[in-house]
Amino acid sequence: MSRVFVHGCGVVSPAGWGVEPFNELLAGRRDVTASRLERPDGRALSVLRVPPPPARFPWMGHPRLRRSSPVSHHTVAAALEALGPAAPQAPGTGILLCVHGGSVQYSRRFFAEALADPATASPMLFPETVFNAPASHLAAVLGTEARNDTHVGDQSGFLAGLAVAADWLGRGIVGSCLVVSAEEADWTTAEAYRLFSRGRHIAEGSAAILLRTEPGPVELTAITDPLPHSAGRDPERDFRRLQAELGPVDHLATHGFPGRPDGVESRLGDGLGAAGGWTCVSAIEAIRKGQAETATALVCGANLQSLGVRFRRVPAGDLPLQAAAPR
Amino acid sequence: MLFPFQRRSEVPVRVAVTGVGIVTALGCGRSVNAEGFRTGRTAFREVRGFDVTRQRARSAAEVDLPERLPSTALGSRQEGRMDRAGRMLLIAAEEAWSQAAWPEGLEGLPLVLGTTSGGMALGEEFFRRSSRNPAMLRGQASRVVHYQPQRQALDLMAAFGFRGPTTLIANACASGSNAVGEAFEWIRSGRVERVLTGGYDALSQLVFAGFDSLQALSTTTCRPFDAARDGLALGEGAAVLALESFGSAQARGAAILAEVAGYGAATDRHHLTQPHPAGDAALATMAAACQQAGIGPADVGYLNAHGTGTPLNDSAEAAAITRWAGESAAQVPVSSTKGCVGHLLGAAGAVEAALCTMALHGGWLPPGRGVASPDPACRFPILAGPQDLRVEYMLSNSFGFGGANASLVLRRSP
Repeated sequence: MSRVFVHGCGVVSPAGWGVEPFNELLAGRRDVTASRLERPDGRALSVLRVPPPPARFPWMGHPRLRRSSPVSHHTVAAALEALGPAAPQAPGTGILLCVHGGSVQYSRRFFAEALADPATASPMLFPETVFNAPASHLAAVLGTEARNDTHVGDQSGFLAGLAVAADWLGRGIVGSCLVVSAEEADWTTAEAYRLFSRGRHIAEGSAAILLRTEPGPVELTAITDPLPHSAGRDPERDFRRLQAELGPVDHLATHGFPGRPDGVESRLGDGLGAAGGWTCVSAIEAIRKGQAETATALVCGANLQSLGVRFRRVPAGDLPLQAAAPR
Repeated sequence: MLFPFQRRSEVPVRVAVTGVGIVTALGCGRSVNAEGFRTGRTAFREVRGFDVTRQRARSAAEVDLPERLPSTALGSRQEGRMDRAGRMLLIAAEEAWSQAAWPEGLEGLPLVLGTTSGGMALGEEFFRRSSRNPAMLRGQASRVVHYQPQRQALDLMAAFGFRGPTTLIANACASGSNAVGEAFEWIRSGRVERVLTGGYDALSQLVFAGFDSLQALSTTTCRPFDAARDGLALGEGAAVLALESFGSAQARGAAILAEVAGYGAATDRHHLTQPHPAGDAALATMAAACQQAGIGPADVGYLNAHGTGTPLNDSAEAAAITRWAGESAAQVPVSSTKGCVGHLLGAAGAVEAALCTMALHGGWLPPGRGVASPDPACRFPILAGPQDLRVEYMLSNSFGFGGANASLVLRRSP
């Protein structure tokens, strides 16, 4: 079985566009404020939204992205940051997109139009509602025709996606693989979330990790078996079992375990599908910044399963020169 | 551990189909579907599930569900909360599960499913109520929970008593084939002995209105590969396949219905909804699936085309099949069964894999419907009537929005 290494990370979050604002937020050097999404009846719901980009990114002019929804922009931005200087052309790169809600804004708009009068519902909106539209746009931007799957799940989906990507890499199906999770906020999602978690905010954004089998500065060393919620959700039990399986580490990043000080959602809100990606990037960044030799990301999803991932620093002597250089 | 994992075999493992369950508008179960697909029966009617009076198209292939679900470990309250899509999935799964008759001790059984919309009808109802009467919260939490595909997966686990890794693939209309293909790869690579896999989708107002807004729905009769075709017809259904290593199936004396022998997937980045006119990605997936199966076009005895019936999709697929088959094109019978049961979206690939399994096992080829004058781009024979023939290999294509392309090769059981 091949070893798998992290070659780059990307983040879009309520803190801004990029890993650095995300790190600053987690370190307490930056704050985010909730904004209000208005319902049709004028009432507002509070969510944590991605701020406007500091400048218009060149890729936003790509023909595929002119009419696309925010979730596609979040997907592409995080993926290109993870790819680094190789972007935007990355032929042969596999894509694994993990979502929970997907393109909810266009789905809500299209269905509202269809309910009002289906004869005039916009054909421009409907294609963007499919779960795999963001992954398709990303493939077009990167120029890749390699394996490209979109998985639906909860916050743990990103961690399961890392396992699929590792399998694809190990079998040589792809030469490199981007695992991305992305979401966009909408009043429908916020209202649905409010039914279960009053007083907490949903958030939008994305995360991406670029995996390869060539040595890189951080190694993905283990992904636990999932703990499905088929017999009910029990975060405390899952936390103990995941920790026991992965063993002690220097740094712990979590999502979905109430009251934990290392809970990424306490700073960022619940990013739904994106949350699993943020938790993993948080663990990787602790290693990259020299704060830890080993780190785990543990995620208890809302309605499917719990999973854990372990990363470790790769000694500089084990790396080719260019991989050892800081990103 | 999901990673790293121990392979049970260092050489590729042969993958057997030991159970099949199927639900389409032809009916619930293998028997009625085999008879329907074998004779080319069609199953369209005016849509009853929601209002279509303001749509261009009015008909679809709707499933008549039985009043009672098959007996599983689910309680009546759990069953009562299930939506239409989940019910179809459960019926198909129970049939496959019963036929496979797997032994006890499958706690870690993986589940790989394809869908485009899960329990969308419940999501639609959540939106309607939330928009019109936001203060009325009764039942809203249940709708949120049960419209998501995760719930249908958890319901299957609870119904049959397993708790393995779950993968829910949403690659538009290729989802079902991708699910079967991924499940096949789990076993072929030696990771596991068994996987339960399939696809499901129910008709919903949003999706019907969506395809109608694109003017992709036929306003006459869905007739894939006919020169005068004018669009697709939607359907609904589910299919579940019990996949198992040959070694495991043979050791327990299970009946092997067919073999999954190859899987190919590629991305067409030409356009979000339109295929590359020359079918480049389709060609790549067919070639990859056949290469994995160790066969060439001359070995394929029947090709179940994606064949939606839209002008652009069928011409691109015809071009791809012609390029792939080359000199063998005239010897490969092709049909699209979407002329009988409609386009089942996320269920399509799984249903077509299930029907290929039944056809290989039963020694028949499923005809298409409505082809009066084949499109000149078709350099291959279109199977227009019932035919009993035992073939060794069948190829099944699925292509979806977003350029998701997938092909499966199925082989007759030894």
